[in-house]
Amino acid sequence: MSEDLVRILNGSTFVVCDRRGDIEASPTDPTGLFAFDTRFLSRWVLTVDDERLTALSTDDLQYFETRFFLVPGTGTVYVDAKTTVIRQRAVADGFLEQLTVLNHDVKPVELTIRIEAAADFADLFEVKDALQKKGSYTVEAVAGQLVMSYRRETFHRSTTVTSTQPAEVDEHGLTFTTHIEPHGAWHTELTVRAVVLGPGERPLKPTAAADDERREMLEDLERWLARAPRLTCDSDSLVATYRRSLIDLAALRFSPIIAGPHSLPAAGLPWFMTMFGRDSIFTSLQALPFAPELARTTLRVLGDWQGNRVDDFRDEDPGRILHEVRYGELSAFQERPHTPYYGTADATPLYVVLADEYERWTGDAELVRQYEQELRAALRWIDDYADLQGNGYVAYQRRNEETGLENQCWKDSWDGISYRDGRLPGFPRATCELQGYAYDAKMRGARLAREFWDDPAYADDLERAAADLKNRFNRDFWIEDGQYYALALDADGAWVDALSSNVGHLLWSGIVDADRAPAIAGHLLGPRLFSGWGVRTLAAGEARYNPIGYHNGTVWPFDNSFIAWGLRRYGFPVEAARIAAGNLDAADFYHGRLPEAFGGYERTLTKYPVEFPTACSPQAWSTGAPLLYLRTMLGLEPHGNHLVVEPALPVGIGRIELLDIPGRWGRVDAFGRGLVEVGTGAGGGSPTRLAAPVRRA
Amino acid sequence: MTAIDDFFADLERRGHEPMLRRLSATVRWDILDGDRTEHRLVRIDHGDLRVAVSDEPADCVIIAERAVCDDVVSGRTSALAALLRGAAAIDGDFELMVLAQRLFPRTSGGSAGRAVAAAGGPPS
Repeated sequence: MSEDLVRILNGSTFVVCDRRGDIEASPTDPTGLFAFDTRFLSRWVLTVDDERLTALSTDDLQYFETRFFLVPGTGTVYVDAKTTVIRQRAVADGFLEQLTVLNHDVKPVELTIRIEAAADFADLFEVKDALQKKGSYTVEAVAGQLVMSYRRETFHRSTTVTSTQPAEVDEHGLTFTTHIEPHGAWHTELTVRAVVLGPGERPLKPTAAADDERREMLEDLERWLARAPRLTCDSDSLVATYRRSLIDLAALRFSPIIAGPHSLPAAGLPWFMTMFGRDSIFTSLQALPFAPELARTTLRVLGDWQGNRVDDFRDEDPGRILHEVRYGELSAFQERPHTPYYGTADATPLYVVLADEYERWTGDAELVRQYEQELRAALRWIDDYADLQGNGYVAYQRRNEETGLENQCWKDSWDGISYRDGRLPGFPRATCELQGYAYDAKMRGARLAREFWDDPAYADDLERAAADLKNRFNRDFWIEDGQYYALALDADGAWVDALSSNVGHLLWSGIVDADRAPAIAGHLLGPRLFSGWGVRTLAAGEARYNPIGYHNGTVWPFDNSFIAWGLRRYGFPVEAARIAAGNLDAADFYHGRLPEAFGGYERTLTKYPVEFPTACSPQAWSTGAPLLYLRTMLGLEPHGNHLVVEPALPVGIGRIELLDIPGRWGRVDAFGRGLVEVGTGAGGGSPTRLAAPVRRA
Repeated sequence: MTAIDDFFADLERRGHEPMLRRLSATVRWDILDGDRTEHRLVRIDHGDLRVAVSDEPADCVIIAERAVCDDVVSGRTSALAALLRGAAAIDGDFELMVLAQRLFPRTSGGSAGRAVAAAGGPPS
């Protein structure tokens, strides 16, 4: 996406427009007003006396609100400064645009102000893939209102445009004939509503008045920021990144229809403003010390939507946690499987991991008791449905060959999983991190069974199974020559032998034998994986390594944040701090907003982190990464009803205070000082282990 | 008798759904059949199920043509897809609609994924 585009965002509704506030969408670009994965406005162009406007400035007031200062004319040399146009747009269920025209002249003026509007109702998938529509359009201009509709059988979406000032409405827009006194102003409010209509023309979701919504959103953002722990720190850069993260997380919150007023993180703008199992879980984990309510909603909503039957089209099994939900036309007509789609192998074990971690932080025993059946079903799925080859390992292979996902782990691009020589393995694929997640899910499930479900026998079974999995894993995945774990086992049980960042997730999950952890830490901070900015997805030297390969060499902040957490868990606080410092330095180049991924080039070579070309931004799990770094660097760990603080911070951070950290302890403060020398170079040196592996209580 | 009738008959026989043990609520189906509407009220009490022919108020009402109901319970379409298509409507608590899907018959047997893996891929 071009940097010249303006994005205004509120949960699953968003506007992407140019710097004037205009929308002129081509069939394949992601500009427009989007809601429910549908483009409700593909054209929205303002003219004054048939002239387009020029932007003097564009200011983001809030994540959901932007103000555009404009003057008529598009010439680069001469602008007629006798008229100023101010558009202020707030996104809600559609948007509210306050349009003000100022006359700076000593004479009155007559101006014709026009808004051109059109809606192509493209499904977001169609925008991605340039597909043709199958339904029919109608446009009605009645009673000062413009109503654009799209119908296909019983499928009905509609965009309405209304104005507080009387307008001449035709099928292509609204025209205002204005008279403005000297130094006077003309003002109107335009309301654009995106409506999903059910039987009897009833909206699927009731809509509130637009300005009420705007006020509520403002208050809500203030409450959200006030509830989060306060950070003070010698590093202005870290303070700015923290604030950016909190605001972006607020923007990415999304209330699926079943969650009422509660919200969970959507994955990222522009393609992924929807519920994703994996992304919502990882982001909720990252944000736990700061906004535990996200985890609560994620657990509830993903639990409610847990798979119930065997459905090959949706890759659904009983107990499986969903991958992705979509609301657009293609999903509604089952031309895409996203209602919901279940093709992910990691969300189900991670669901159990999140439930346990959530209870350890919040003490919310009621939720893990209430969702006992879902958690048990998730644990059953690991053994009964995910072990595709009967060899005791979680593996994936899609059953929906047409529109299902080929790679059902987080590295989901077509070439994301490869052998050292670049060949791609067949299916099923049992990637290593899935075994780590399964191990962790069993261990944490055992704690839940013992402490909350009154089922010590089940807890014993789970612990035995976890111990057995760990043994087998350390035997079958360990590549002795290279001193690391294989990326995956292929269909024949042979190693997919590339060195990848996935080994870092294994530390986080605790499946790594303690005596092998130093070798893994050495690889993660070594020259092949560590760029100086962070850990590459694939090690330099592997055949498919490419510093701008989506999953084959770029650095992903989300990935790095869990790797750093894993290093801390195994007693490598210095290494964790180095990764955190590299990523947080990178964040500075993006004004505190870490992108989805950036290039894996050597830090000494590029001096700045090169952004991956089509990365989503903001993206929830990148937004969550600085939060997890704070937790990791401060060494925050719940221990019974207390919060343990054990800082290991990079020197550049100086003094740091994180105040009012919420949890089962009420609210507590954490203090620290940067004492760890991290340097800025790429990998090298041997890891120093400061403590024995941290065991969970 | 269509799939939706079989579904309610089966619910009566089952009498209990363990995946709904945390739930006590009422869900009503309004099945549109030409100009007639049939009502089925399902009372869920900690997973115990009772079905009645009744149009009394419920926490969640699911309204759809008989053919759509048949498609949903037999798995030819998902409830969410039907809703997004405008082929069904919900009155009341949306979360209950989501949970009510646990009442639908499950395909018995083990891992479909394992069968596919054993066959070397999905049938083409």
